[in-house]
Amino acid sequence: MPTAIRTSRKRNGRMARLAEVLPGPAMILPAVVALGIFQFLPLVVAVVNSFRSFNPFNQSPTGWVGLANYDEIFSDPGFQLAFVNTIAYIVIMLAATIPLALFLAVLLDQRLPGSTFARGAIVAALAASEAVSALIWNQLYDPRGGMFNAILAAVGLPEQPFLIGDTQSLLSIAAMSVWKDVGLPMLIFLAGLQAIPRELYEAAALDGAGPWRTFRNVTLPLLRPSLVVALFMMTITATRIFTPILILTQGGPNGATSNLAYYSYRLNFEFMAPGAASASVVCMLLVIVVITIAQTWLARGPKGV
Amino acid sequence: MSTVASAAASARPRRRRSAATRLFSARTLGTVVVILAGIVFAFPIALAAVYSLKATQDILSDQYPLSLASFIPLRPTLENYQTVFGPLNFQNNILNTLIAATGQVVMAVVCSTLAGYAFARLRFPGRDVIFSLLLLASFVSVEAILVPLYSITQWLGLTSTYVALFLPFACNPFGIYLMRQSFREIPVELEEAARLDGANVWRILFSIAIPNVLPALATLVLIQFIWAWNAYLWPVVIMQDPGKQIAQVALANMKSFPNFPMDGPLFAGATVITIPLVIMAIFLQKYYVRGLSSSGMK
Amino acid sequence: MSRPTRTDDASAGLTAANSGMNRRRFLAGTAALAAGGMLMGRPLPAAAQEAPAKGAAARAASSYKLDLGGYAGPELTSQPITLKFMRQEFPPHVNAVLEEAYKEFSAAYPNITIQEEKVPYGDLQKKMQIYVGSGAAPDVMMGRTDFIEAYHAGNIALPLQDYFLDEFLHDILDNQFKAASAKGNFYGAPWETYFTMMYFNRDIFKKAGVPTPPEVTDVNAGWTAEEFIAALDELTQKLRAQGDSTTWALSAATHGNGGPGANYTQVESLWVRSQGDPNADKGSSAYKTFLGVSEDGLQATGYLDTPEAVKGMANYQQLFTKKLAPPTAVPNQFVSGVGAIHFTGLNQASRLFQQKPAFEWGASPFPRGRIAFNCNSSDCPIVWSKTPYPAEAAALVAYLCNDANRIRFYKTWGSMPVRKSLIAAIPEFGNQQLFQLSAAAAASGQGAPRSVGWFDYFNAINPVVRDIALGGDPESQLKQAATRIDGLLRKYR
Repeated sequence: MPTAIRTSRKRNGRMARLAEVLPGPAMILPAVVALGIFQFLPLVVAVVNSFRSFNPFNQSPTGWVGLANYDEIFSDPGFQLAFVNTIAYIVIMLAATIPLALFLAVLLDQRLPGSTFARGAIVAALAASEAVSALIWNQLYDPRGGMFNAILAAVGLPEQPFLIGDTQSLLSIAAMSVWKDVGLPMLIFLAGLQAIPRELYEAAALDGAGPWRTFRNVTLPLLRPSLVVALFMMTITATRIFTPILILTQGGPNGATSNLAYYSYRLNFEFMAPGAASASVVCMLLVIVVITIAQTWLARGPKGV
Repeated sequence: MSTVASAAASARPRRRRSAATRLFSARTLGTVVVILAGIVFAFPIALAAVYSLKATQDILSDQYPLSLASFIPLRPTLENYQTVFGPLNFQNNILNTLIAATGQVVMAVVCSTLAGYAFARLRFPGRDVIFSLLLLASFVSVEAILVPLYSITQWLGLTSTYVALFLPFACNPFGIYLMRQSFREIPVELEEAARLDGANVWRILFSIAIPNVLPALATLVLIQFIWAWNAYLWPVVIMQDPGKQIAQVALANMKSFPNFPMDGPLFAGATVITIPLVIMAIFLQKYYVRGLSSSGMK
Repeated sequence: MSRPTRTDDASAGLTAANSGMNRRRFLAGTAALAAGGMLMGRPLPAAAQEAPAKGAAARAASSYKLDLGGYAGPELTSQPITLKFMRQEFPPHVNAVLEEAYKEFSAAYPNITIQEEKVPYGDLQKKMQIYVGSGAAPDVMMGRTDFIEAYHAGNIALPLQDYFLDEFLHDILDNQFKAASAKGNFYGAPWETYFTMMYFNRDIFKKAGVPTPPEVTDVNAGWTAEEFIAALDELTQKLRAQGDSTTWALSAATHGNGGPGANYTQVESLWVRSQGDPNADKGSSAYKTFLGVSEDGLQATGYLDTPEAVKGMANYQQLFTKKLAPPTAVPNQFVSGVGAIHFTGLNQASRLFQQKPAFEWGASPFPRGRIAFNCNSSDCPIVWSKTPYPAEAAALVAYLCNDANRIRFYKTWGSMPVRKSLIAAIPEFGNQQLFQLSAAAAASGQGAPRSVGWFDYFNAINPVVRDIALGGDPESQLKQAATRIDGLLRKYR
């Protein structure tokens, strides 16, 4: 430490000022370059492509078509359904995963016996191959001979169609995704919990606060930064649900499980329509941007986020 | 195992017995819930692990109708693991995945930590605008940008390299966001004190800021590792050399042969690739579990 | 110098394209004449110089350093080159056969390195699409005869007829040669062909006391769709009456992701197109149903939603409404012994022979509608149109399709060979019912509807089939699907 002090004092004023301004841009440079090339550029390409027409064989652009691609998807009932379903997935996933993840994180933070096992299991679900998980869940959901219906039958409840039911199919996909992804916000919350000073809990305990009041007055407010990240993460995860749809329902029955991610994938890779696919990607982006801004605004704390 | 309960009890020694009992029963209840949650989450994976110990033929015939045999390997065999590590050479795919995942984690940690800190603590022109724009980049999924992303990677001459497997996703907005939020939680006073002592930004970052966000870093490492581990579509597209192909694609291959079910090796492979991540989670858990001595900020 | 084209492929579409071939033949001829004139009747050593001309090279067929099968192009380069081949992944024992073949090839041509790229079957088309879009693709790619029209229209594949001996082209099953050709060009050497057979579990039928399907060698001598449904209904009711609640009369499809709508080309279209009739009046809906798409390949309305097609789909729907088949994807029911009937390809048989399942089994033709119908489709390596090594790439394809390699592949993987001489050389195709029936089905099958947008069509119809299986009204669903497909095909106009 003393060496550092001496070196920094040796510098002249201008150098010092520069040294104060430069580190910021220097530190974000790797991220800006990497994200710029690999995420932003393709994103810009997608936006530009949404106004173009393409050769269906080699996907090379053939001209500008204005809003024709948007007209095309807006008039497609399949798009409207996918749009609504995308929002439904986001709402269901957030409503289910955030409270569940919070609950699990607080529980696992207590150093109870079995915590290592449970944490391992939740991470394992997160880590398991999506395709193989889908195979297993397909088997659990099987309307005849699947385990879920066997359990329902055992407790005397009527059997359910799950993945082939008009209303249940989307919920069934969402349930599998909750199982798969709840570890994500949970890990974020677990990290956030470690940043809460212990003293606050001790003080709350001395005040005679019960567990619920402690959670409400200490844990929750101090977890706000983690909550914002977790909401952001889960919104994106919920919007991107794809593999389970592809493997379990192919968007059906009657489009009930299709979302914008699946819809745009089909346009691009099954229907050779990169322009319309890009237009639906742009719509998908707008949905998430609006939802994320709303979240950030709602979760805004006294000193911003 | 020392417990929060005992810590709490010692913190308020004059509480009555009934409170301790209540606390005890709450702990029991909590333990039961924790174990139940573990079982529910582990079940589908455990099922895959059970299948991996059955011959393909047995997996197929035990599935329907549902019976005890569906959940227990009555004729356990290791032949699937022999196939996976023998003719299928799956260890090579795992090694490739490991290389890609390690590359992704290292880059993600470097990029996210630096950028996260800059966005959290340093002032420079355009900071918030750049931050918002970077977040925007995370909204787009790989399926949506596959074709342009392929062209870019090809243009960079990276097709079929290990670097191509992870570079496009190594830096992601989620990591930056996570680290930014975590750095902002550190009391400003800690850094101010160091600054007054004459420490420069880099020294503050490495000796004060980073040690205080280790739990967030552990989360970042784990999540990035999992993402890299599970990538499928991009490796299928960008990797043309079968010798460098990753484990998820190898798994997909095992279920792609018409009239040639390879369920046994498939589940063996799926089980094997889950294990490193679980071990990693257990290894990293020290960052999630408070030591009794530590109380909040160091 | 004359380069005979197949005379038996005189189907309508080929006329226009032949003009292209004639032009090339004419050019080659003039070149030879000119050269001959200059050299005043001396032998023409330079003949081999004219690019991929079959005349000279055909003579040299025996001079290649290796049995290149039907290859008739120029001698391969002596420069060091790398050929890239993208194909689907196979199980290790099948990969071994191919790797052995590459070794042989590289031993004869040490300057040519073969670099394989193996992709899960379901991702092949997607990857080809990305490659083509990027402008750089592997020299050889595994394509499918269903998509030959698109390979042609998109200038994706290199015409291969000039690189192959006519005897080789003539040897390919007529329907597969036709399927692998577009506008008179031959684009992909089919190396195996797929058609749907009906396998049945004798034990389940015996247990229920229901007669098994006829084990015949004639595709026209099987059950009709109505007989099939009635038999399966009886089987199901008797099984349920015996307290068996887990065995299905018809097992779930195992193509693609499985279940209804898993693969229209290979399963469900058979129900529809078998209600059509190729011999009916060209304007009739029966004829159009058989075609599946308009002659120009750009319209489905009037072809996919005819009364005949609706009847076919209604038959298909009965399998689910009568609970004869599971409505979801269930893996491997037939081999597990809980499905009485299974529709799949010939290589299922070789699998059953190897595995010796715990039940007796047999094979029968796919149920016929107005006609007996099968939709053949073949995996076929195509050569990338912009490859820098067209001759070498074609030679590799020809080599992989030579007799020895095809027989080895058949013996290992069990799928149907595509060449008449090979089928004749394998004894079981002449003397065992299952294989005789297969040979008949392979030879009599029709390709997928000829459309440049078959990929769009196929992807659009699959979920519709699934919705019909789950109870959707066949007529309105097919009408909507046809309209949707018309919209998708518009971009190819």
